[in-house]
Amino acid sequence: MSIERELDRILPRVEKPARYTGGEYNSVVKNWEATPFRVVLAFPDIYELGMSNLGLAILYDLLNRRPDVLAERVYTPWPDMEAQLRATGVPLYSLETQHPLSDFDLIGFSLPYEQVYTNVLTMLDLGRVPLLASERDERHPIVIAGGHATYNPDPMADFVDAFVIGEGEEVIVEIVEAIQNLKSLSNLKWRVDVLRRLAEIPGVYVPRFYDVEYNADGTLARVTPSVEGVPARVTKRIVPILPPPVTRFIVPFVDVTHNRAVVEIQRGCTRGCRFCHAGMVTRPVRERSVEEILAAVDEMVRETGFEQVALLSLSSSDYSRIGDLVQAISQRYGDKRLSISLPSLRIESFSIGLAETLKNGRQTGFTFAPEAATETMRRRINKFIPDQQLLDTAREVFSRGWRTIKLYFMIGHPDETLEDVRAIADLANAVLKEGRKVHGKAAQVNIGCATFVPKPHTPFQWTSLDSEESIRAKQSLLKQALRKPGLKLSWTEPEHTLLEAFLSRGDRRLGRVILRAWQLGAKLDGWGEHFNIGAWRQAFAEHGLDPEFYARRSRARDEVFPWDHIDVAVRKNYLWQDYVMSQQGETRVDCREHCFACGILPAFNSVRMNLPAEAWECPPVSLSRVTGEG
Amino acid sequence: MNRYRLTFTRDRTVRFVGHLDLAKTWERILRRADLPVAFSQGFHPLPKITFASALPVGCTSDCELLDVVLSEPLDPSDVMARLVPALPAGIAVTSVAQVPLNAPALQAELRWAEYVVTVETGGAPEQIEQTVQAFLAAPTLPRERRGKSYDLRPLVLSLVVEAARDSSARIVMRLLADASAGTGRPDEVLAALGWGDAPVQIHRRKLGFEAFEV
Repeated sequence: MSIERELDRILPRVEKPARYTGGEYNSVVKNWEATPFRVVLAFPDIYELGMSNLGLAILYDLLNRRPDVLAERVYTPWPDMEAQLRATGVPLYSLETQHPLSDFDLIGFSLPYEQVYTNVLTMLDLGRVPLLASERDERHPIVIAGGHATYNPDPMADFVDAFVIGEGEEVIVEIVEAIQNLKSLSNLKWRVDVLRRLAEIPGVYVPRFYDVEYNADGTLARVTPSVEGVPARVTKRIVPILPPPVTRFIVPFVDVTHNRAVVEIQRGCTRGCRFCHAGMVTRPVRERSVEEILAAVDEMVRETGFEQVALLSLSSSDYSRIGDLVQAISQRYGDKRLSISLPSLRIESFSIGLAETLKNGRQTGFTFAPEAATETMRRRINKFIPDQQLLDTAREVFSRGWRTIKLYFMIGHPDETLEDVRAIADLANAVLKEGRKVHGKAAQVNIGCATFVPKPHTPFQWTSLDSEESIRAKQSLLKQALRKPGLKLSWTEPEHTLLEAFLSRGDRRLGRVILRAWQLGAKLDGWGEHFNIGAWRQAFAEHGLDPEFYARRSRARDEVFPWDHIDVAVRKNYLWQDYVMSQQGETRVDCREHCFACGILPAFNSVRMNLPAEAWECPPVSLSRVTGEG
Repeated sequence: MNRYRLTFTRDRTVRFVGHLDLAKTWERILRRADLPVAFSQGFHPLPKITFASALPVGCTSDCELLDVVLSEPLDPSDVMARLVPALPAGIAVTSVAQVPLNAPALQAELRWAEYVVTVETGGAPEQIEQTVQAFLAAPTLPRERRGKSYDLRPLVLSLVVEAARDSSARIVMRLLADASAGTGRPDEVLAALGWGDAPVQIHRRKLGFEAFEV
């Protein structure tokens, strides 16, 4: 059957069909027959989001540089397209050469967040690949997954053959080579042989080689290797120095979420905000040089024609030469109609100067993320900013011409009271008042108020998600207090938060819940219009499990977590100390000022030892330090 | 300021790219080609690019036209050479010519567009011919589109069955494409013929302007 011919019938009937046709500038179409190893990179959400994902762009570029490998792309079809594929029997296909997923040697899923889990099942199913890893044999592709959600991989262990823990730039090549070496062998044990080989690669976790035991109370007893030669704990991979940035981004024909080129100016963050998963798992901090970034921006503009470039990092203000970088970029591109965005700026007047230098006549809003509205709370979460500094900064933003300020908060921090939440409304009102002094009724304050979800590998991994009753009470307080011209509130529905919470800290038993929920119709869980909490509740009930057990339970200090066998090189004891400090209202300063021995250096001391001092923000390691605690 | 007229084709790969997305695609092509595109004045400067006519979504074409103003005088062959490596699969430039800066806007000069339609009608050749003749004989063809009623008949300048086989036909339709008098859509004609849901390929092969054809 020709997929091409069928698509002529299908595509005119679906919304935004250009999402399913490929052909974008800088997409790489190789000769299928002539390329021995075939990878499809799968993003389990729609095209518009997947095209904005930097991780997959990096792997696509890296793999396609190899003449013996082709890497293609596939995204989750919107339900209208899914229905058409099912009705016509057309399998889910790659955009480059329109091959079904089942034709590839390797399927690589990116799992950046938990709400995409059911989409993985949709894609495997439409792509004619058995859903369960245990039901695949030598005829089927190897299914791997990586990305931030896989630092707690076990909820997806039933569906994924091997997880990549940590940064993928080096390990993806090792995985491809390992499978390639065994590809010529063909026997019934092939799949197991390949997976055994993958499990020996540092940073690769193959769940089938680990046994999971539970205690009578439902908590985890232990996770232990079931075969020889696989590590008891899988340590994340890092690249010692960031490789040259991708510049040949695929240029979409249709509008996508982040329609721009991106350069990662630094990876990791030294701030240590206690709620922040990314800040804990992406250590150590590595910067790119100003020269490398400038050269990359030049090349991106030339090779993509994008009118916007984003300088990406978890905390732009902390990039050590941010002033120089912004100056140089504005000198070079000031009159070339290139807009440069610099997200994640700290709340201080220096940030305003940076944004002003980059601004090309376009007056968009200014965004800050105080996360909490009282000094007490901001101490607890270790994102300390004095109230006065916040208001002073807001006043200056307005007086320098911006009319809109966006403020991001979270509700549901550990031990938060209604008074802390009322302070969010007071602060928003105070900021608006400053705006009105300058711009009158044109001043606008947008308040984004998500609900805090405790994440694995963070100091708050022991804590409970706020109760639904409490979340609703806090949200209704905000809705009432912020109902006023000039203020706009957005929030997350408590059921959405619950889903994120039980998947974030779930264990291997959630595999059957995910499968059942998907069978009952759960899909595109990140999309309000498709979200179906009923399917999830029923799936939990059918398997005798309770979402509240995963989402809303304070854990004992010594509880074994489902992700304890995944080592992000930040010690559990360090996280516990940080949790205790939080309860006592103690903060830790930026770890560039003082090393708190989180665990990165002992875990990667041999890597660090061979690097120049300035390569990482962590202190250099000398031989005498190597013996430090582990 | 120097005005250049580009003729380009659109093949299957980009048949679902809508007009606004195509405009954005062209801005990026011109930036990759490093051509000195002129921008409008004002608070929101926009690149000076204008298209002759939006191609209906789903169609291919080999007669698309756009005018772009460059701030430097360049030889048309130089413009062409810079464009070629900057084009995505699915778009090819077939000619570049310099036109007077004050030449009338393409849109104002456009009169008609001609489409070749290959449609799986499911009927015998005689039936196909009959259907087309009945269409042409109708004095009016009232239709509704996006909640507005209009008469399709005067928008159809000609409708010819070029080839008909069992169950499929090649039909050439010349439709009005006039900023003031109205624009006919090939999918509307097909719907009026009763083939609105039939598998179809639509290709625009000619644009007719006040003073010239492409």
